[in-house]
Amino acid sequence: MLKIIYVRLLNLKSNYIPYLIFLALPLIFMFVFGSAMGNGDGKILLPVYDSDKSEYSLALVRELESVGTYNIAIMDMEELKRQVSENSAEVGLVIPEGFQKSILDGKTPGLEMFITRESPNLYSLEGVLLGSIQRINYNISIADGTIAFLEKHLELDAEGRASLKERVYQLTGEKWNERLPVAVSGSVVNSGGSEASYDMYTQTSIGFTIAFSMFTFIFAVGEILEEKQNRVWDRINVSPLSKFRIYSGNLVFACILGMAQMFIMILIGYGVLGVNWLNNILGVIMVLFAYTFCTVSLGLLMSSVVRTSHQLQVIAPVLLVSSSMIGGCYWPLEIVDSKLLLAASKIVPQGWAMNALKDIIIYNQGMSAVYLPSAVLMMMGVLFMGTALQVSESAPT
Amino acid sequence: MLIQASNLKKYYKKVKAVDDIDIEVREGEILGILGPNGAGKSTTISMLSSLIKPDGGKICFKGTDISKDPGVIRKTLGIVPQDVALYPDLSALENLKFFGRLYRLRGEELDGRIEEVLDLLGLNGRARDRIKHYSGGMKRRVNIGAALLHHPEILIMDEPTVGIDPQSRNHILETVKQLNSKGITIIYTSHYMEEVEFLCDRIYVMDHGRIIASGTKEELKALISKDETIEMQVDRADERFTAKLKGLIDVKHVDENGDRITIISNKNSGILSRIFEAALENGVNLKSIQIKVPTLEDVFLYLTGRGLRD
Ligand SMILES: Nc1ncnc2c1ncn2[C@@H]1O[C@H](COP(=O)(O)OP(=O)(O)OP(=O)(O)O)[C@@H](O)[C@H]1O
Ligand SMILES: [Mg+2]
Repeated sequence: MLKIIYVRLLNLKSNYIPYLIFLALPLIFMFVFGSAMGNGDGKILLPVYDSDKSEYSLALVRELESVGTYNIAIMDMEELKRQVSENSAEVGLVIPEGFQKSILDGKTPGLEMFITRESPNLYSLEGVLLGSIQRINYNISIADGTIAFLEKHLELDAEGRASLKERVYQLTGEKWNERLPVAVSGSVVNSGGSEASYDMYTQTSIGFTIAFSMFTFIFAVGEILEEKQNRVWDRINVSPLSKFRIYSGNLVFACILGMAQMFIMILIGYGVLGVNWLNNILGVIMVLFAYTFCTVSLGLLMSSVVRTSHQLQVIAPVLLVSSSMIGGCYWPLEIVDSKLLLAASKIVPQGWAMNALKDIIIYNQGMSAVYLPSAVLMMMGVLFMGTALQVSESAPT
Repeated sequence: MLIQASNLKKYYKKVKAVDDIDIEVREGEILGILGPNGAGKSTTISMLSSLIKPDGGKICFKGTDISKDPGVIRKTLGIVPQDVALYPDLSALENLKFFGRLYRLRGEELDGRIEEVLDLLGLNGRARDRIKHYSGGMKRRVNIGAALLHHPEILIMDEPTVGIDPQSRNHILETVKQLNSKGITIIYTSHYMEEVEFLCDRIYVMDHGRIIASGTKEELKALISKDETIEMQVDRADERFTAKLKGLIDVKHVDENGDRITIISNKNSGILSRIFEAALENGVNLKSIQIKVPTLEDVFLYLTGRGLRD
């Protein structure tokens, strides 16, 4: 088996360009897509249209900023609608005219949210807004109360009154701020407890690692076809080396190559893009092992169905790109509505791997989120491997 | 008996690649399998070397059924595939090392064997060049070398000289003789009857998946000893002339190839004068005519009515 791995590595020396491309391409994409599609700092983009333009609407925006989860962009209505409808942002917030007045009048102020679909972020924003407005209300009533109290003892002109109110308001706000972390974490919706760190870099880092390692796995296994064509395969097969060792040597080589690629991509995702790959190391390793087995088996199946490496080069990219799309490697499945497509994501290995990895890396789920997907991937692997051996056994050499 | 194969069959969808043949290989001989393209030579060899499973029949190596225990023959078999079966991107040295290791050779022993093989094939100078930069003849030699490292008892060579220059070809043929003189049993397939005639002790003639004749060169030629082969060159092809030849008493086969015509007829039948007569009748001029010593080519022609290289 080692002999086979060794000779594969020797061959790799003079034929490494394709694998280098499988590694470099997604790394470039990762940076480009990650920064183009997201905002890069782990915050949720929140477009805000402030038509009230009042002291209190500004206070609300500041409150939202102080929460730390949102990257707030003030813009006009058109732009806000565009961003939401194009999915650049999940929610857009509109502060209507008369916002300040209703607060001053002690009424419930109305806020409008633009959404294209329900999402966890939407609910958490609702919570944050409620909390913020409540705080604004408290601050105002404390400031009012303080001024009313002071007025009994001091002579205040209108100007002094206004500046005093502002000062008290600020002071109260600062007091709130000291206690903010408690209030904030309570208002963010997620199952794991700490803050969800969803951003485009995380999506692309996981997605491209899964999608492009598959290329490496499948083409590394596909080297068998090259050997069959130039008949080296025959030479190896009439040697005393058993079929089992010949196959396992080739498969282990593919595993090594693909896993090395995953490792580099994860390292860069973690070190450079700040993706939280280490959130649940054991879980990540388990999913990637199952995925590796599944994909290498798929490679073997594809290599036994097609006849030449040329055919593989034509068929594999089409198959891999489309199944990676379905599996949610290129864009998050969260933005997909079609029931059919979501169901389809359950029949491609990438779908299961993506799901499990996102659950543990983004949504902080524990090992319970890993077992089922890993088991499904292993079973797919067994199925592929079994069919592959069946096919190559019956096929003419 | 080294190898005894009986009732071998291999059918692909439409083709009966090998159709119920018996083959025996005796220790120390050079056995030839002669046949045109598609005759089933490679398929036969693949079955004998345990590479593909026959659809029927049985192959015994020294009495052991190789379908039950392919290990016995694999350890001691060297195979030279019809195509150059080497890693093109690796050097000859790297290729030989790898194939040697498949037979558990290593270290100094492996280095010694590689040296020996490179010497035998006259490849010493360029062992570190990549195979893909070699000439056709050199590739062929490394292809043979890779089968010799483990000192096989049997060497199976599938058309090892296809597509190379005469010099390399002679070198290879000499090497085969030399290997055989060291006691290696050789199975040699070819569609060049000269090679088989030069090398082989016994010959199987294959066509369309069947063995149509077998025996020593002499035995095979005796098949046509009652016949003689007449070759002539004419100044122009003429249908009526060939039709006339076919109709002559004692003529068994007429093979026409442009201005060359080959006739097999009964020996000593005074056929020549009748050929001249026919030529005169049809206004055809004979540029040359001769009675040939029979070759295996003629045997094949006699057996199948076709030339080997049609
Ligand atoms: N894997 C295969 N699938 C289908 N048909 C095959 C296969 N291998 C061989 N054949 C067919 O079987 C027949 C015998 O082929 P084989 O390669 O044994 O002939 P051969 O005598 O070695 O010919 P050549 O001199 O061209 O090498 C041919 O008609 C060929 O097309
Ligand atoms: Mg052949």
